[in-house]
Amino acid sequence: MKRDPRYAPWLVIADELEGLHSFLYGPDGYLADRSDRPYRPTLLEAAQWIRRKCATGWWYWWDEGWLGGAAMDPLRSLNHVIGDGGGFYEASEAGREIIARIESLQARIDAASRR
Amino acid sequence: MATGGGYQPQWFSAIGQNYQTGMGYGETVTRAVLGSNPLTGVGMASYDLTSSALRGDWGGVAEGAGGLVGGFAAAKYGQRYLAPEPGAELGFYRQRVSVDVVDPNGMAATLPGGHGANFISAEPIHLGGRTLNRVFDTIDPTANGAKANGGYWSEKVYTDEPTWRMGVAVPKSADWNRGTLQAEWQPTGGWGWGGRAAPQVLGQPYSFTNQKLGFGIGWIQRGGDYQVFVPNSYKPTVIPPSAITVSPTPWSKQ
Repeated sequence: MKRDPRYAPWLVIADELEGLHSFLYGPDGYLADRSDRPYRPTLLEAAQWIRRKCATGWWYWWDEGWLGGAAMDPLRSLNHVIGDGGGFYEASEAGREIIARIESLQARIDAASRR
Repeated sequence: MATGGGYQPQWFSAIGQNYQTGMGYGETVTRAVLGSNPLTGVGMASYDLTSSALRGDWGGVAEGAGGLVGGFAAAKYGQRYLAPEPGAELGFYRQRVSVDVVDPNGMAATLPGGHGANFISAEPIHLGGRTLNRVFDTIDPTANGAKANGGYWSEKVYTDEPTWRMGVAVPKSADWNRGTLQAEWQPTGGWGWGGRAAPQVLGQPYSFTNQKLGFGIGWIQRGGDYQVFVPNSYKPTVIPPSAITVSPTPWSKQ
């Protein structure tokens, strides 16, 4: 098994993606009623894929570029959902927190994938 | 200048060429692969047909032409069979890191990175005098989902689902818009952002994006149609609910 220290920040990003997924689709989540059909690509799948690459991947092939792409794709999808939502997210405190968390994650991924 | 990762599709030249010559949904890649393959491609087939004609072998010409048509038919069927959802296409796409815009009114702040990423190119436009349309899926204000007063609009009225999904890049698998209803709005004024829609990926295992190198590969909804983003569209002062006309989409009536 290959353990590369360059994967370390991506484990943190994977945790944050999973945290946002729970915030959205968990039992008390903002979108709990959609937990059986979350918006795709899902944050959880992206987090699991990143963790798998961090555990067994070879940095030569699976570097920050691919990890960043995997992390960013579900956020782009969510941004479109929010933009089409007609104020559903902007209307509540939890919804605004989701928007803020997405923006913060995007900035972090953007920085990490351009090192 | 607004920043925030839009996508720039970068197709095989054969794919782009075939698309522009009027190929419909579902035919693009396999036909392009057949076309670029020296054994099955149009170039070789044309050569065969020409050489048969020069020899006066009209039976060979007919056979060659039949093979070519059969090949295209097989490619069309194969692509439709393989596509994971309506309108999805297989190919490479390029990701643009920043979008240069003409920004005379300092509007860049109204197109944050998250929405900038949904454009290949974007510029501020005056909304007044336009007729805008959008496809959405719920009129219940308390329900989650695409609403009549959402931010993304088109100037085109879509008559079938694959063309809509492909044109403005709305993956069915993403499940954020079932496309059951359509809205029409004629704004009397205001500003928005107009430009070509960026592709949307279907996500793993169908597609992979490389954020650093700025490209991806896999199944995507291509995008490319002109779309309009209306900042703060959810505010009644921006899009008054009474100004929107709602009707079922043609494909949901079937």
